[in-house]
Amino acid sequence: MYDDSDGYPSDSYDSDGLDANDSDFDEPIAQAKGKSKSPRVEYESFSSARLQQRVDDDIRTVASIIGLESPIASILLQHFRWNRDRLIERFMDDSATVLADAGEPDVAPSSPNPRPSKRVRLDTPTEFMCAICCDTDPANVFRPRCGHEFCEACWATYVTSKIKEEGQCLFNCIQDGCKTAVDEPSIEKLVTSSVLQRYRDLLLQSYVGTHPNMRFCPHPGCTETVLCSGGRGASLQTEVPTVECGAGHAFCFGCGLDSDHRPIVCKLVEVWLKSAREDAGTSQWIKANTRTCPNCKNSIEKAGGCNRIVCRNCNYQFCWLCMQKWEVHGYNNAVCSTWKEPEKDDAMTAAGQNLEKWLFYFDRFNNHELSSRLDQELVERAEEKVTEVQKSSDLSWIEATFMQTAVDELTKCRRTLKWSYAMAYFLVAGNQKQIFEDIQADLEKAVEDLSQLLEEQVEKDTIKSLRQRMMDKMVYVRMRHEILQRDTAEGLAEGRWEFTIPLDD
Amino acid sequence: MAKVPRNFRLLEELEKGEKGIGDGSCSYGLEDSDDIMMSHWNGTIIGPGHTVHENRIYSLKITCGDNYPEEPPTIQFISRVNLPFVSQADGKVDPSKLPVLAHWNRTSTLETILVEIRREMASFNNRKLPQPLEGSTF
Amino acid sequence: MAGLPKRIIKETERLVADPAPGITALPHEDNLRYFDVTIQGPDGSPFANGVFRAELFLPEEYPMAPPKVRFLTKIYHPNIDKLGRICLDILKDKWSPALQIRTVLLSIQALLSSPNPDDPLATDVAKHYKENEKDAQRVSREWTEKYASA
Repeated sequence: MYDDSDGYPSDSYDSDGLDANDSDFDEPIAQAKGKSKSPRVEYESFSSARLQQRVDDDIRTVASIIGLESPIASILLQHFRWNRDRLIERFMDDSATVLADAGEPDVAPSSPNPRPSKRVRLDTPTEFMCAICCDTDPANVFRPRCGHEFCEACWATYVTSKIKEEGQCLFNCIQDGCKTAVDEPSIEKLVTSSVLQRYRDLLLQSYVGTHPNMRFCPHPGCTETVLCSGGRGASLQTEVPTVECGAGHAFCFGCGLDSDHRPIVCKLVEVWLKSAREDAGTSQWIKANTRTCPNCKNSIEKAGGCNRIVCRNCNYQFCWLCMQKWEVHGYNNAVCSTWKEPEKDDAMTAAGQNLEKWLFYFDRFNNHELSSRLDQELVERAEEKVTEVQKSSDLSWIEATFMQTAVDELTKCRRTLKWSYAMAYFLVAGNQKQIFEDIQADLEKAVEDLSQLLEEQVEKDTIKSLRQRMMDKMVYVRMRHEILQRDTAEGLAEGRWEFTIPLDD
Repeated sequence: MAKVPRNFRLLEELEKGEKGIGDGSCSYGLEDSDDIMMSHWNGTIIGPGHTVHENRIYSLKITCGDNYPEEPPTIQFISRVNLPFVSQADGKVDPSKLPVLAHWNRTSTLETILVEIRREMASFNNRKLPQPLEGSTF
Repeated sequence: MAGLPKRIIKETERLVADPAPGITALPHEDNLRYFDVTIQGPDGSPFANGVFRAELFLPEEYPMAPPKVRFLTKIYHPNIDKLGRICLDILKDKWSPALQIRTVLLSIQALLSSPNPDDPLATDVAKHYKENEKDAQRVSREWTEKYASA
């Protein structure tokens, strides 16, 4: 269910409970109304069964209005690109022409039967021979409503290849020159159930494809379809129409990306991903999760999402991203999350500068992806310990799920941060970018703090305090996240952001 | 399995090339549009981003013999380039040094070759090789 | 070649035993789906007295998919391009598995008699045919004499 007061499950910890006691966590708390929230688009999600029903309803309605069988109505609707009203109007005007255009046989008394083709084909003087496979004694002969007989096996191969190879749900009889579309009952009789299912899917695709306000959920294997009134055309320059399908997959209705890519707009996502794909082969080194300690050169593997790294060999502490000593660094994000435009240097070519700028943002973009995965791994290990501790403490089972709750929050924030680095790459240097990067740095810091808490040892006598600290931090993280989302969305709506490439071509 | 003869195979490749392949970073076409035997081709590779080849445009000559695709075509760079498998004398690609040619099979195509060459340009060892002046030819 | 479908065997037999007038089609010994074809230019057309070489290939999916055909002899025709590729509906979206090699070759021969400059593959030839049909036919005849004399 989509909750329009906020995007989060209402049973999780709420920001209003910042200084409240533990029990707040268990109570669903309604978001304070009137609070300015980032703008959202209106939409509705359909399961495949509900979508099928919608299509069937359309077909049935048309069939009953024009007084034809459903399979024929389905063919006519497809000829009219599922425009029900136009079909009915044209049919009322001149049914004979509509039917003839769609290739229906025996249309009107004035229209002759499908004319025999002038083209030569194998003679069938005495006995039946299938003109396709030249079999003279097929087990079964299939005769569709236009009357063109071929052996059932050839018909089945033909229909199957139209559906499976060519991906068509509207195609004509085998006979050359015959324009009669093969109807659904014939398809049902000729093909296997998996091909029939594919046919039905194609029919739904054709329906959704012609519907300007519908989009399939792009999440692999998901069968939901979202109907959304906005999220098209020029509005994509001023909003990111993020929707969530009935199965809980967030995606962008504007570009169909299978992820919530706020705050960055669709056009820039496309440019970014294209660059990233280009770079996939060349920047492998970035993805490697090992680096060497700047102090002792020992090889270090990143074990959690937090960027604060302690070398196990020499105990030197440094930042994973900028490799600087932690004490000077702290969470001073001016050091590490903000790209500094290099001083103009004659020795450095424009291409070289661009490469460095790209690598800077791309590295941070990738890092959040990697960190999300590592956070999750960390928590899976910690959860075992939590369960163990929970049994001997007075924590309830529900209270003991706080680590997963924190990671879910972290995942959302890291996704936003990830895309915020892509957005920052395109922002023109200046005051607005500065403000954007300050807000980004605040969230980054909050996220890293929370991520660091995940690495703490879970012990029986400290678990309550750990949980409290984690909850507090999570509230703060959520607040910073909301601020970033709101500010960037407002900036888009107001046209406040200035990008290095135009959005409107 | 039906074996596609040389000419129909090259027609397929030509059609694919005419439509434009992938993101446009590699392209190819007939040198002469009425070369009915489709033997002489031109290829173009746009240097991969974030390497020394960035924004450079490389042209190559591709020649398909009578036994294509049983045998690989011969490849020759027209634009000067410094790569380990390209002769610095005349730009010819040494088939033994480029895996896609050394281990040729008939399912590989002109596109595969260009994409592989481009991938080589972006490989760790080649992405920073010093390059001759942009625009110079063999 | 193992497992040549009955349909292809039948068609080949009939093409050899009872060839269509003005048309020959012989399979390659090492690839029975690959045919050497000749088509005589139809009488009364600018292609008359010419013998045009072509090649035809039956893809794996044949007859569910159409054969592939191309001229090897240069020909000045609005629906045939410089590489001998042919623009003919039955070789594309109007293909029906009920059509055959023979039908296809006869249709190509018919195309030589009735060029269709409104659906061109060779746009410059089509333009010529539309603007000055007589002069275009003269060029077609010249090319026939130059490249397609038997």
